[in-house]
Amino acid sequence: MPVVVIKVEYLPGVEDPEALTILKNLNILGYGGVKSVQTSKSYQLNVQGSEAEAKKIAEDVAEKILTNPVIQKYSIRILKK
Amino acid sequence: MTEAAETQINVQILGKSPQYLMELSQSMSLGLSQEEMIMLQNYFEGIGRNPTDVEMQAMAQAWSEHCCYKSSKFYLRKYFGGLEKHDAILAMEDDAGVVAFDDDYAYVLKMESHNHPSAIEPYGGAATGVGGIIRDVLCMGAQPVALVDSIYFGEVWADEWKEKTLHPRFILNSVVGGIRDYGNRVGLPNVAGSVDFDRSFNHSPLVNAGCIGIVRKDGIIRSFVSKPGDIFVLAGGRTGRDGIHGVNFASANLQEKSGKNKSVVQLGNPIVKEPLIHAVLEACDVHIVDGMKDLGGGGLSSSVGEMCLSGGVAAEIDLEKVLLKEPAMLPWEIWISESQERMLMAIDPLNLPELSRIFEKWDIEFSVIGKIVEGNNLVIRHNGLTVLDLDLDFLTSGPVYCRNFEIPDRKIIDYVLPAENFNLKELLMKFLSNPENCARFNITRQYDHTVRGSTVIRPLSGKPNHETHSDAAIIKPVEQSNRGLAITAGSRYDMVAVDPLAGTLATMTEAYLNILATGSMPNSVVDCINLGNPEDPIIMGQLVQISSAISEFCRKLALPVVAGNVSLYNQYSGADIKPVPNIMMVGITPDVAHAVSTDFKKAGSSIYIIGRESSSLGGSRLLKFLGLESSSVPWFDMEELAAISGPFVRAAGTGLILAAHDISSGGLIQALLEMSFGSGIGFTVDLSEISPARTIEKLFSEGGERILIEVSQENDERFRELLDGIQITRIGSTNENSITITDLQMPVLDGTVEEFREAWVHGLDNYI
Repeated sequence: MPVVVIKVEYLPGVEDPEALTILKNLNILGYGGVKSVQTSKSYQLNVQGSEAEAKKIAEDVAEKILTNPVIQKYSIRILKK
Repeated sequence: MTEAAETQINVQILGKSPQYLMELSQSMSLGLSQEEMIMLQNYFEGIGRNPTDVEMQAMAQAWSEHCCYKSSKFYLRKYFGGLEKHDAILAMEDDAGVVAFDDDYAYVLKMESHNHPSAIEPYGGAATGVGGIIRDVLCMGAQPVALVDSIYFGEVWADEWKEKTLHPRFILNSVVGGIRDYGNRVGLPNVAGSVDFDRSFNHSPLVNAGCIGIVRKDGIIRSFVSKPGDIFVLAGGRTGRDGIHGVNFASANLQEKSGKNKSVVQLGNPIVKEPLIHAVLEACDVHIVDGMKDLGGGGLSSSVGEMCLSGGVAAEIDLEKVLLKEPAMLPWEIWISESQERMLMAIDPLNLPELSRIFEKWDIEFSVIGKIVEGNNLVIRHNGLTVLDLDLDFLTSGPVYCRNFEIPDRKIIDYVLPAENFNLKELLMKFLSNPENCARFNITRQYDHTVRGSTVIRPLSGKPNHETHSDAAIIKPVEQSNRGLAITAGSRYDMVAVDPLAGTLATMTEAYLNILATGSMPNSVVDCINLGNPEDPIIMGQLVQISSAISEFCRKLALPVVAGNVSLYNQYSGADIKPVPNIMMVGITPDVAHAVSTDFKKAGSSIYIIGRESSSLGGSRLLKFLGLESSSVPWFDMEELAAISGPFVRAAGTGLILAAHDISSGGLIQALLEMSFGSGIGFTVDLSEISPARTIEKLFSEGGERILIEVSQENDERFRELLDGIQITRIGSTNENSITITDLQMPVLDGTVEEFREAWVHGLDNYI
């Protein structure tokens, strides 16, 4: 059964408050070398069928319920066993 | 213009055809009409040069519906211009209304729509709606103390969704999430508001956010600056490309929303806002802020312009001093960006070290971006190049349209109820579990109601985890005073849709009764009017009727309208929303120790109805539920309302009133049941004395200015004396836990409180 990973992240230019807060705190803790932080969320799906079918389903799911194209984008990759 | 300015991007408009201008307006996303483009062309012909790109973008911001109210200003002035101020200190003058609270303090209030952003990115749109309204209150120098929100959604129960817009259920969950996360994280209690569902909001949800704050009278900060030599300080969040063209977007109808609209969406950051509030208030406390405005729609462009124009001064701004989120932003992008969490302050340069000390303590970034000068022209430079040099009056005032309006004749439709008797219990169970009529706990329990520790009456009243809805919330804002602020917000939009005039009076009446029922005296009004496309004379007719009704009500009940907001173009594919005048009303509770809540307190008390009887079902939730139409809406009697208010608040002040609830959506039966739901205490009621109408009409009519009251039987006589001259009817008494209604000796309804509560409490479970 193919395993699909959908990664959802903000589009460039969209404010990422969680990342900004982490960055700020890293600097306070002395990790001055960290220059930027970005957050993303990944979903792992076990899908029945071929890799191509699994990818199609993942795209559908990502577009319908996992992302809002106004602020987010997604990428899909198939995990090799 | 300086020589160097010639290296800036000039927009060629001199001598161009109207058609060319219109295409330009579209290609630059200006949102200006052909006539407005021609007005600009005429102005620049007068000064003999082409505009820069910054100037075109600045004009488009300033002349947008959102910033200059070009469609509504004429009528708003007509209806609200001459209203008396009563206790108001600032009414319709600055960013928020300011009203006297007691000798030393004033409260600040405002409500604004954030509908268009919430339609395309509901989480961020709703969150920044809350963030923006907090800044409006903060910029008056006030400590925000409570939030309210009225939200309107489409058919969340729809299974199929073939439209390109977001599913109403997704919008509901995201909007509530946005309000919750922002409000809870910034540490303000969310205490009142309303939630409604109607198919007309399927593609155009409404999010109206309100905030109330408290300020010492001598600490009020104005939204203008009048002292040449002062400097402008921009503090808080950085400026980015988010939220560019938001206001132009709000001035156009939403056709098919898609990823293309990305740049208009802003995301809020409450983690920056919370310390910003502390820093700003600390600066206000040491009296170093001469003027302040928040950055909302239109960004720097509208804040700088409006602050200077109202103060009769001009300014010079250096855009490279603005702190940016991303490098290489174009000058016009910096000037009109609507990035969140920013405040603009005018201070004396001598006070800069003190301001720096405060802002550094709170870890808030800021920069000095320019100075205030005498004169008429606003001058903006970027790395020394002049990119904007315009007459402020022309730039900021904007056009005013006296749009045609039409009030269509209404078809007279009388509802006809089926002749046979209803199975009332079955009907009621379905009615109570309908999303429009059921409990809002799934939503309100997500909000923090008590943070700051000053909430006296929460939106939920009764036994913990077994509450009912409150009428208005009460906040006790000043530690050393027992006075309270009663707050409510909502709209009877179904009635407004049938008859904008009578429906708006119904909306005002309900808000008034909500405040009164808590034992408080209504004191001020903010309106937030949400409509469709103003280019349609019928929509303008709605605005005219709604405004005139608000104005008439406030004149008769001696209330000031202290702030307002109009949201237009709420339409999709040519279909307009039902008109929604959302009213936020605030009252003064003389002593919070005598605040009255809605839940029955004990068995054996008397139940009274105060106020005029009504038996019409016009505009009621029951008719909508049954799918019946009616062209009539009950007419609310403002004189009657004025007559009951004084005696009622005095009676409440004696502590005799144990519980009170106004009769509105769902009529007498819903009001009675909701009083039972908070405590589990039941009632035995006979309807015979109310009116000669049919039982179902007596139970579900939403007319009349009526409040249900619980009074201990031993106090019956004293209570009647206190309300001498006012129509009061004793309809029954409370009991342990059962519900019994009779009419003319016939049984009407029997059951237990718990079985009805069970139907009511789970109505939204499948949707959020």
